[in-house]
Amino acid sequence: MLMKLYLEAAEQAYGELTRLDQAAGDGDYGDNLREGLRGAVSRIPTDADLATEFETAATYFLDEVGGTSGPLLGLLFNDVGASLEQGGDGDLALINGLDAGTAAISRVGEAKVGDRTMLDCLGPTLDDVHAARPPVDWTMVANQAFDHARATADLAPRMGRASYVGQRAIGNPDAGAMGIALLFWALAVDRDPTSRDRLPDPARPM
Amino acid sequence: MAEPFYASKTEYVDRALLGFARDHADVVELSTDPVFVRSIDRDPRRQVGLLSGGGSGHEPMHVGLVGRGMLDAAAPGRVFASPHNRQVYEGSRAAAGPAGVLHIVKNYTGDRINFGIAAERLRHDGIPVARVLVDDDVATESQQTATGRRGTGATVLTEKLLGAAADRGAGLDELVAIGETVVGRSRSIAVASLAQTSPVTGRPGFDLGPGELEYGVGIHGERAQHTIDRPPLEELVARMVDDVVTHLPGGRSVFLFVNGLGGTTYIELYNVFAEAVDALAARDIAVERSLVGPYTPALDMKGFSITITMLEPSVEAHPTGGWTALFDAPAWTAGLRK
Repeated sequence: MLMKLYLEAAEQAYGELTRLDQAAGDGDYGDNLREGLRGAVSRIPTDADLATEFETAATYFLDEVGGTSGPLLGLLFNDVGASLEQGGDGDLALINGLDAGTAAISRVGEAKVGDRTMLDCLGPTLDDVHAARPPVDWTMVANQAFDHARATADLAPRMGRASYVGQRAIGNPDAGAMGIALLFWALAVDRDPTSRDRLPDPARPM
Repeated sequence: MAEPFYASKTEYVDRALLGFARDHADVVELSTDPVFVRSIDRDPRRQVGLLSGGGSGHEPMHVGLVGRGMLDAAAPGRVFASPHNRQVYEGSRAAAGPAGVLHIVKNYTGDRINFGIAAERLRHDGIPVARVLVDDDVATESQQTATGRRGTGATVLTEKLLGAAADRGAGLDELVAIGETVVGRSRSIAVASLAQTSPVTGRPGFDLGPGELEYGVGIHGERAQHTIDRPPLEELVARMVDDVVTHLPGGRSVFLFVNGLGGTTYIELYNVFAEAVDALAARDIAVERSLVGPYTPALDMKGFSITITMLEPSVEAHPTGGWTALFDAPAWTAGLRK
């Protein structure tokens, strides 16, 4: 189950996510992601398909999770769930949903790639997916996602939690971007359980 | 030290909403999960529902502006904090008319994001939704940030005019066009001589010396960029009117809104108003319609704001009577009745 894997990654990365968010913001990112995923997993039926997993997680993140990053993740899940519902759980529907969700986050957060937000992992990683030949190698995609998340360490914040501390945020990756890399980790492991060995350890994502 | 009269340190907003809904049971009903206030009556011609919201502490804005002729629903957050997107989402579902729902949003990052998330959810449900963003505070005009001007007093006028337009059956696009024009022709500035009392500590949000004024203060207790020595009222109001008019398009007739920030008496507000009318007259500008009172306070801050809306002759010449007709149209809410 994908969301169980995402929760496993978020549990392992909790300390690191909290440290990253404390360096740039209010330090609640790890809590919000972990609590959101715990709540979502507890509500997903055991026999759920991928569309139901995303739809259930969307409702929980949108309705129950505080802050802004949690509900924004809810928007991403909402679009992925709707796309999978219509197009089946193949790669194309998944990618279309991730594209739509990324656009929604950008619209609502009024941020774009380069502003040092979760979009700095989502946007470039999806660009990599579109540039590669099908079929999608999700293990490679997840490794690229970690690279993009790490690269936010060099970005000056313009929007989002880190904009309040300005240049002082530079040097650490953005917690929100790292949270997205963990989603790609879960997608890769869900599609190929053996890919764990070829991916970064969520507890030490740097 | 002026400890507020709250029943509880944590639940005082919810408690106040309960009391408010009880007091105005003929106008509104309260939803508690999630928290929003909706009108129990609306003009049958209205096609688009109007919803606003934002932090609490500015009452009667927004829950007191819910009712026939103005808002269909309002989503109140904690004091000075944005409502959760679920309040906006569920409130919008309750408020939506056959042609959708319009969000009237003050320009603050948290409000923009939470209303934005709610709007995405409503689109998912197939409910047409649009937004009018209010950003009228000239004190935040020149700041080198991406956040732009704050939304303050012009929100009340925008909600009044859009409510009247919605009651004529205007659609979503038409309402957005009217709202954006009204906001574009409205500007405000605020001053304070005493900060609001913090609900948490019971102490003033910031300190000012005697004879000092915070010039360009916000409505969330954030300090202004300038602290000035207090000039005589005539001089102060003339300066404020100048600062506002400078940021407006040219014209000869206006709406004038003198707003109390919570700790200011009507005697004071009408002194300010009389000076503002004179200051405008000295600039050959006539006050067509006016509003005076604490409609957008910042808890109990001692101070006031001046909002001016510059009318457009071509709009006023329209057979339907322009913005003055929208201003005069009936409204029946807890905080504003015409």
